[in-house]
Amino acid sequence: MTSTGAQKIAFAALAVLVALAGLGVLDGGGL
Amino acid sequence: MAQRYGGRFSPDGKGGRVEAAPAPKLASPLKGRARVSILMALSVIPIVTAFGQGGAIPLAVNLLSGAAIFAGAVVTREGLKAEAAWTARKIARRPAVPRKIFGSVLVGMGVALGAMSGLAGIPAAIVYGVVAAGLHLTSFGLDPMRDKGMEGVDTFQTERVARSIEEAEKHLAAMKDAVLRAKDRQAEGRVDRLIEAARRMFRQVEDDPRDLSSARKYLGVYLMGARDATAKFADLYAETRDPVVKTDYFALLDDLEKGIEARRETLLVSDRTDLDVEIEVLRDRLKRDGLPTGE
Repeated sequence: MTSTGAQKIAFAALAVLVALAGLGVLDGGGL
Repeated sequence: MAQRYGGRFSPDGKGGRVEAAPAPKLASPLKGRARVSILMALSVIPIVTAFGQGGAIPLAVNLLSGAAIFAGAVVTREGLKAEAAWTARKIARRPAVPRKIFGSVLVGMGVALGAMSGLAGIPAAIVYGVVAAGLHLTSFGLDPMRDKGMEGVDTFQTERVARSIEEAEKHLAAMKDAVLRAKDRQAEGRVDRLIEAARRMFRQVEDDPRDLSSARKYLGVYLMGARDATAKFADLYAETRDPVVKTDYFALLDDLEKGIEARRETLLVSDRTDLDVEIEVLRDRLKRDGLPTGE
């Protein structure tokens, strides 16, 4: 089984989220 | 590892007729390995930025965030390994620890810690964390949650098989290690072939744990003997380079391999007999009940 498109998109989104959180861009983001 | 060419005119050559060695089986690369590696690399970001935040608490929180993301990636990789092993076997129990789910929780915690700024930002950080965990689950999937092919299989017996095979694998590893001392590539190749034959039998015993009792000797005593013989051969041959010793040792391995193969065939035959008996009994009952059986 290879990863499906949905899995790839989800992973890309996760990578961006981790990067932003790491860079501190998300700090102070309100609800 | 580099290997010396063993062609027609080489010292180890087969002289004239060169028989092709069976191609070694390579394990397929782990599915999702690239994604795990990217995740590990990304975990560096919060650690690097931790030092530019100005303050002890942000530093600690960001370091923790990086650690959690890295740990999540490691646990996910273990989960992928367990899943690959589960998929490869015909009979498998679900992994005891749902590692991929733990991985997603860890990554979520890491993102939440990274996105947190002060106590006021906690609700938003939790949302970020939950989103990250959800994305992780979507990307890597859930762990295998059910036992596979365990119907009609005795759990106790399966565990005994697993233990015996684990022991046997230890003998094989020791043997492979011992033969390196002989510094003879031919002997190494010969031992590899025996190991492959032994593993073929392991897989078969795993598929049908009832075979354990008849295969036990080959899993235990014989492999242990082969291991000891290998160690002795390696020491002696490294010193003397005596071709007679080598021939004797190869003859022993040949006998052992033939024995293992023969035993494997017998196991297959006994499976066949079991099936025949089962079918015959059912047919007889159907016939007695007056149902058509196609005879």
